[in-house]
Amino acid sequence: MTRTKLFLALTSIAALAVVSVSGCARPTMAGPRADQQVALDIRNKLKEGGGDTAAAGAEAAQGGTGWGTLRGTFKYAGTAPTPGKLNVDKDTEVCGKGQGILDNSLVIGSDGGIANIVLYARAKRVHDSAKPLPKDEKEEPLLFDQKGCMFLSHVVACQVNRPLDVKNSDPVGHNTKIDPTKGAAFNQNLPVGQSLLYIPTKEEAIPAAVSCSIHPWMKAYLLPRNDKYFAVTKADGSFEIPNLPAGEEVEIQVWHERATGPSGGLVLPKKELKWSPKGRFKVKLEPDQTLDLALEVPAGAIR
Amino acid sequence: MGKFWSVLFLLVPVLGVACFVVAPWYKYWLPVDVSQHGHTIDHLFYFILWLTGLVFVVTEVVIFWFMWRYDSRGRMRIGTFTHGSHSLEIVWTIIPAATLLFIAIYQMNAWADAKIRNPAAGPDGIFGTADDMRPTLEVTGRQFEWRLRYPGLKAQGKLGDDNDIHVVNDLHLPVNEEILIDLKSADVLHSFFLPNMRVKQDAVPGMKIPVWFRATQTGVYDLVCAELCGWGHYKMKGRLTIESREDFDKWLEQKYQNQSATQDTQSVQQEDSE
Amino acid sequence: MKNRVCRPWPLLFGLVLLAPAVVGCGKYDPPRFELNMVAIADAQIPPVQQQELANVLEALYGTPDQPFVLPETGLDLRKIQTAAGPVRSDQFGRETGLYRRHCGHCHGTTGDGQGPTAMLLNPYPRDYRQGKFKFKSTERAAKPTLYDLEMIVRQGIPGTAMPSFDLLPDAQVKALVEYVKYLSMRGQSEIDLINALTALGEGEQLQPNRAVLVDEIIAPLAESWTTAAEKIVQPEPKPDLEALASIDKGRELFYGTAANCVKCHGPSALGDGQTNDYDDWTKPLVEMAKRLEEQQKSLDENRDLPGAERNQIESQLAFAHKALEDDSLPPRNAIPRNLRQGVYRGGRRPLDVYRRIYAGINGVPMPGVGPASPGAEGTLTSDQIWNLVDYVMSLPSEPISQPPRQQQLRVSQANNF
Repeated sequence: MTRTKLFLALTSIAALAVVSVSGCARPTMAGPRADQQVALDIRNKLKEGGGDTAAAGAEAAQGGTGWGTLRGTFKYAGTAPTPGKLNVDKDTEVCGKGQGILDNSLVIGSDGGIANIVLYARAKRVHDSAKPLPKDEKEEPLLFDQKGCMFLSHVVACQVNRPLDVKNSDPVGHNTKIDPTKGAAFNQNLPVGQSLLYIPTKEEAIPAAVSCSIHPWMKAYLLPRNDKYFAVTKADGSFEIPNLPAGEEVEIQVWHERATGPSGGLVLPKKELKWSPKGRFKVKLEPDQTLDLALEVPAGAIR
Repeated sequence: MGKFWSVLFLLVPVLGVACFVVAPWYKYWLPVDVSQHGHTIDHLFYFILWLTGLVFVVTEVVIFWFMWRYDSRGRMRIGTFTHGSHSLEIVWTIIPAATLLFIAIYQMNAWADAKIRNPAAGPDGIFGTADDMRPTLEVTGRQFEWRLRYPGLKAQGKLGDDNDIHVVNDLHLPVNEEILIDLKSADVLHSFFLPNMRVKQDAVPGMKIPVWFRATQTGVYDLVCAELCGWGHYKMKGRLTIESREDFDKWLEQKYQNQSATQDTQSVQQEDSE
Repeated sequence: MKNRVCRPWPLLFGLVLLAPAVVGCGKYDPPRFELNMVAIADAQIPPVQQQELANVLEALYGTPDQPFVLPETGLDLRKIQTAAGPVRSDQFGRETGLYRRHCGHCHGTTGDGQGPTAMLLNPYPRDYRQGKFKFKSTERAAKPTLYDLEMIVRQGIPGTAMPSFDLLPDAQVKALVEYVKYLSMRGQSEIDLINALTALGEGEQLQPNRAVLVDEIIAPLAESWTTAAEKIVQPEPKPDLEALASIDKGRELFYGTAANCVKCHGPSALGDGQTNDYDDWTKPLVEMAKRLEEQQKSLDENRDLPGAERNQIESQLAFAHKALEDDSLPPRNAIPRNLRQGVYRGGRRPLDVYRRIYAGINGVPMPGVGPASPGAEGTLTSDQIWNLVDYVMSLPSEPISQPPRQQQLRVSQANNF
């Protein structure tokens, strides 16, 4: 009898202890805890105004001369999946004309070429034809049209400061919402037949999403870059980036809306190109060389 | 040792009374009453306090006396047990019943004044007249704040159009005027409590409950929620400012001007550019 | 004497009382800023770099109990210290720990909008880490002014769980506003750092020096906050037009294709036009979840993947799923405002409503109709915006069952559209 009571009492003590130790908070993933000493060191260095900026300067010194061209095609390995229909629930007479709108996030041509893959390079030397655009120069605006409740250009790469003529050619009103991570956000009402200018002011590391709040299925991507070293694959999957610096390693980021890599990086099993898990590869061109790549995209690289 | 326990029991009435005697010195007593009807509420409170206090002290002393007198130590006689006394039971049923009935009748007028004789109902108390009194404002309890809505300056006391003046938590009222409030709740039970006005009324979702009183002194007082309404109950703290009619009108006018602004005022811009 | 042998109860009772004293309430763990695990999982930042990120963030901003700011941030450390730390007051009654006392239980210690009470609320509390604020006087893409944030703290946000803190002393409100700015800058710096880590090439390392941290991350961020006051939307004077005439014009615009309000706010302005979009805080979560699902599907279909690679992808997916589950709240749609309730979240002055229409609402689908940047062209004129303001503000007092004739006409047109 006494022993049972003792047992009960001890159990209740144990239960109380467990509750008081564990608490009843919602589980969260907090990430690693900062190393206080390391943090303090970094802070002190920042306060002193210290910075080993010399290293960055030394890097730029190396490199070769001359220019080369990179071109190639992306082909889908295996049978192309049939695109589904988008959920069009508004203005159906105009949007898709009652036929519905096909999902254009993955466009594969009859010969297997994949369109709308973006390639952009990080180069240390920049050719005159690819120099960043000055801020106040009047550049010819790039047409960014929408018709049938679709953005007519699904993936656009352009240079920073190149104005975009955002146009509505539909008989229904739209609004265009551009969400870059670094540049200014844009979400403007776009009445029938009107157009607005959007000028990207900052370089983006990955293409920014463009959407329409009135018709949520409408989607496009915009990549502003400083220099002109970028290309978007055409319907046959081909691309070309001319005037890349030769004699040095140039890192090229490959992006596709439905790539499985981090942030849309397209990862191909190409060891000889040093293809990294972030969807980048490196090339070293000879002066005046034109490197032609035939790239096969396995089913697993694109979802 | 036996008498020790009876003395311990005697401490209950002694300390109980002492608490009440000492409380006002520590400011643990009723807050200042600045309302017209508050004294009747206070009077009822004191009346019941004295009545129950007296009964409490007498009962406690009797208990003490029995414990002291009939301590078991040194007593050999065994107590006798009876099946009770019918007449005694009748007496101790009738006396409290009569007392309660007296209190019920005695407070009736105070209750009617505070909760039934709505000043908006007109002089006969049933049928309103054309120039009915309109509510001074509408108070809506919400988790966790008081949303106040005053009728517009030109609306002649009519609520519910574009002229309404919206205020949060900062209740201003004119002194020496009959105040009528429409009390509402947007979500759960709240209780609109103005300690200095001796007003406490639950706000019930779906109901519009009239609350009325008249303030007699200007000053700044508390507005709190007296019904546990959720985790943020403690945040429902408002402020009641009683001021002269001129000051009140000026304040209302100012609120209206702020609310219908179509341009930033100069001072705001300066603050921004600092 | 016999009875004295076993009476364990008083002893046990005492033990139970003592237990918490002995065991304690767990080791006291000072509150910490949590990392943005969803963004980390989405960018697939490896554990080594997560550690670097935590170190750099602590170097730049300190901890909840011991905040720190570099002078380049433009933040006032004294105000932040008043708002930071545990809830306390000294012998003079000066209070510190204001944020944890008034804000933390909803907005969270990190300012991620995920405090303990957050999941009970609709809408969810604001997540400051994206640096986006909805109700402000500035252009859409600009930061709010401190005065804007102060107004929100003072007036609360009607229609949401944000209450008014108008009765707090002025200095306390100002301290809280500074702390919100601090949390927002910390959160946005974290996102910028995650982006910088993603941008690193193979074998490159994040250099925790001034060039990277101050010049590239903190300085532009601080500038965006300090220049906000230059980007305040100051409307043209309201045209001198009779109220009813202005309302009629506004109604025309509301249902027309130039302003397009009807598309989202619905033909009866009940906010039922476009109800399946998401705001900028939720959209990335929804898209990430969708991406994970598709990735899982393609992994399942892709049978000839080597085991090692498969394991790696699977652990990545599991990590991302866990981050989403633990560090984000279940997504909800962004619902357009019901304009007939007379509840104006960002303030009920005509000036506030004008700014909502002119600049749109940052972070949500609501587009702007005024010029997107100074000098650019807007789609509506200032007079037209004022007409819309008049119409929208007249809606709460207009009977919905018997709308004016011309509106009935418009409703039928809108339905046919």
